[in-house]
Amino acid sequence: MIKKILIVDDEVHIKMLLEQTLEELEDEYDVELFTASDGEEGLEFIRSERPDLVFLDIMMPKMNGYEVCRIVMADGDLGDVKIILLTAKGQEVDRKQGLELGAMMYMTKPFDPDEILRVSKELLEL
Amino acid sequence: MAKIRGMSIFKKMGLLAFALFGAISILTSILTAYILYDRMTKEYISKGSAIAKSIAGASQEILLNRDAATVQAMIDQYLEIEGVAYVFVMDADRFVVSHTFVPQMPPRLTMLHEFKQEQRIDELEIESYGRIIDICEPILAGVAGYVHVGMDKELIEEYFWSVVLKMQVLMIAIFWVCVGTLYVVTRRISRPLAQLTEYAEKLAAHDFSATIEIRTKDEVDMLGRTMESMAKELSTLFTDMESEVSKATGDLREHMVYLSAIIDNLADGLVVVSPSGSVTVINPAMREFFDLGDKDYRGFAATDVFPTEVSELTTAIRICDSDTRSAEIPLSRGRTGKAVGSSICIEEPARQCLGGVVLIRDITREKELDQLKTDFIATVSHELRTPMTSVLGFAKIIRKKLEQAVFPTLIEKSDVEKAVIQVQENMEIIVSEAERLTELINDVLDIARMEAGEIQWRDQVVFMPDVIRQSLDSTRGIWSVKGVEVVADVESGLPPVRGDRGRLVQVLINLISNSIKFTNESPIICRARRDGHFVLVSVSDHGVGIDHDDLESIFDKFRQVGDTLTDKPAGTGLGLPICRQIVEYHGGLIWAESEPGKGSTFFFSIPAARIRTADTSVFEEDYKCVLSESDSTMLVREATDPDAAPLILVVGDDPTLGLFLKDVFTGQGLRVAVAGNGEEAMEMASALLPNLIAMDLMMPGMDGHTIIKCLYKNSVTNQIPILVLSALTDTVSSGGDIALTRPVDDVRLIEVVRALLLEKDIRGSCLILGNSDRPVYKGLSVLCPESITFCPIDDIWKHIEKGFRGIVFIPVELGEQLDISLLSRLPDVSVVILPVLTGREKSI
Repeated sequence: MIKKILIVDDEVHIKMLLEQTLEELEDEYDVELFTASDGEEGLEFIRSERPDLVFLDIMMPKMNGYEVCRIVMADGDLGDVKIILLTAKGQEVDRKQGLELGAMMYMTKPFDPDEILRVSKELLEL
Repeated sequence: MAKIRGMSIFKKMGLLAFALFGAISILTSILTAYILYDRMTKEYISKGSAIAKSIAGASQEILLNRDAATVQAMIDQYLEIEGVAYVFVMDADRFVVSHTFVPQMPPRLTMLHEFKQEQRIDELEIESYGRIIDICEPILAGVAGYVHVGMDKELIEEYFWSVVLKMQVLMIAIFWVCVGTLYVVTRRISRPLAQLTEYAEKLAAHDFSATIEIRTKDEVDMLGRTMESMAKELSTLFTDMESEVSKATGDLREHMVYLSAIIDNLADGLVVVSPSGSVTVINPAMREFFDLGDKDYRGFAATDVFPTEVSELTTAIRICDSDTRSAEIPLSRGRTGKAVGSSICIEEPARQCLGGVVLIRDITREKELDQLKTDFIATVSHELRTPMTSVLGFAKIIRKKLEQAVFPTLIEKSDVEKAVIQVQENMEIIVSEAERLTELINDVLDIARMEAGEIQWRDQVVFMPDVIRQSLDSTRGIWSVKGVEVVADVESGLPPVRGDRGRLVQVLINLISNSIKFTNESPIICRARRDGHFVLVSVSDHGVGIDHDDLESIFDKFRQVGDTLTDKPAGTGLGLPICRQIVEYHGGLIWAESEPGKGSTFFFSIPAARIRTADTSVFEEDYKCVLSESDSTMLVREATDPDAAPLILVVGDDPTLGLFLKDVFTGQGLRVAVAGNGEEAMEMASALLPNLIAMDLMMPGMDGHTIIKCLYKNSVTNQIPILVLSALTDTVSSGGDIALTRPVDDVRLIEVVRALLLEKDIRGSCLILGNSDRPVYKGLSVLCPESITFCPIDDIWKHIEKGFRGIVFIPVELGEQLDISLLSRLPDVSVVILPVLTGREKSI
């Protein structure tokens, strides 16, 4: 079964960086990559496609990452979606807030591409 | 009044004179009268007796001859003598021969008795004669008869009374002369006295202008003059004093006006409350802060005037203690104030509390600036990190791609080999510089947050040797590469300190890395010593050293002393300022000593935690945690099979919540244990070492906050993640790792729990005391997936010193040979006592 990874970030370069990082998984495993440029688009995709893993930026136009995370977690049908929050904020309060909302992990920018790979493999059980 | 006083003296003297004269005159009269009376009575008796004897002697013959006429003639002569009342003669037969009575003799006289041999004297009362002294003389021993002579006693009394009367008249005359004299004399003495009194009264009424006119040239005169000079002295003194007092009063008034002007013009609000809680001073700024208007609030209860926050503060400071209390208080019109309250105490003459004073400063602007700063940090953080992410990320990807895909294809071509090497080097530079930039951003944000007070500090019991060990481990990469050796030199028996272990490690890593940067010579020595109430840590190197003038400034931001160095090392210049922030937060000091060219030593000191004697091994303020701490060493950890699901300890008194959590967790294949109250929770946490604790904050008895504190302080349980479930919205300060607000959504709950279980794994390596050949230990591999080390009992401390962290298993029979309480106090070391082996267990 193909596993879907969604990258939601308004910063084109970050999106590209994640895409290029995760391409490795696409090559090796049955993984498909998708991207979205803001919270609303991301949420729409999550609802329609039910990705297995979502890399979600917090500070985004239209709808921020916390909001998306909250809506996804409140939706019983989307219970299997795993969310990794990505943020430039590195404060204790943010980390708590994210985890309280139900995110699986909370990664601070700048992140190490190898770390992204390692975590993705772990969460997707590859 | 003076008159009355004068008269009073006279009256007293008069009364005294009267009494004296009265007594003297009466006594004199009585004495005189008595002597006179006695003398005259005796004279009358002797006179009567002489007459009787003379008659008796002359009338013997006559009587014997019964010549009555002669006798009559004789006795009539005697009647002429003064005092003689009567004479009569009787014959032997008691027949009256003759008498002098006219017309006849009173019958009573015939009945008188006589003595034949001697004279007889009688006193009798006879009608018409009065009181009589009768003298009876026998004639010839009664043979010839008897003579009676009667003497008139009334005469004596008449004479007696006339004498007494004359004397009394004389006495009274003398008395009145005396009284007159006395009056005159008294008047002469009392008048100046009255004048003196009048004068003294005027002086008493502060009339120093009065004069006194006594010119008697005696003691009173002298007294008057003395009083006059005294009055002059007093008048001078009074005038001086009055001017002094009025000057002092003026000064005081001026001072009061000055002080009240200061208080009224304070930009800060000020209120003073009495010990009973009523307002005594309030300034305009304070009125303005709470829109109180111009009403005089003095005497009002503070609780009636101010909102609750201020009232609470005023109530708290009314007892005499040295504590200063502060609070953030909402002011009118949406402003915020910072209130500081302290009690007003005097030590002399006795310790007494005069109330309390509260100062409120409007910090609305500061709060706004603070918010701006926070926002700025967040923005900068985001705006800098995002491009950094791209730069660093892509650089790493490029490097990887180059190495994996591009370079192998070029290796054959020798002409591009140089270019390949250069590109490789350049990529390394880009990555390392990007990492350095990231580090700088992190440091800037770190120090900005520390300065803004946005850092959340953990309050742990920290053992300095542990901090040193961890720091050496973390920096091993740098110093082993550079070929420099770093050695630790730790004094034994160092007391622990309180604080955030991670941050203290950060300080030491910073100092060690600094030393490594500036030195090429081994060894760098990391020392820990006890210094009074502090634990002193130092890092010494033999590097380039620091100029004396720079020793202070190196702790300022962006002040690397690089220009004194030939080879400028990499760094942000923020390491030491961050260290200073951390050390100062812990109540310690940080400084450096150096000799340029020979090396430098960095010191920092942290106050030692107060600990009781080793046998109790608990912290004084943590008495509530005592039970679980000591008990934990005696409980045996449950043996679990290798595939056992993580254990979750649910703490709460609400059975519905407990049941809900149990359902949710067991539904997820997790094991669940439930504790109903704080004490039970502490016990179970130490005994079962759950992978996670989920607890309700509101509980009877030991509340959630206390339990969390105790769990964190207990070395056995401080690694267990805590999930707080609270009905309150403000759960950030609860102290757990994560807080969820009730009602809890089960899906979210599971996700959070999963995330926490993934994050933390308390299982470390295991150390078993004693021999390795006991079969029962096979079961322990479940607990210790990493490794099991067997260690002779004497070597345990060596292992600890080398940095062992994990679970120490102590067979119960070896327990007594070891200071288990000390062992259990070590952070990251758990102690488990293994029970005595029974036959059944041996067979497992």
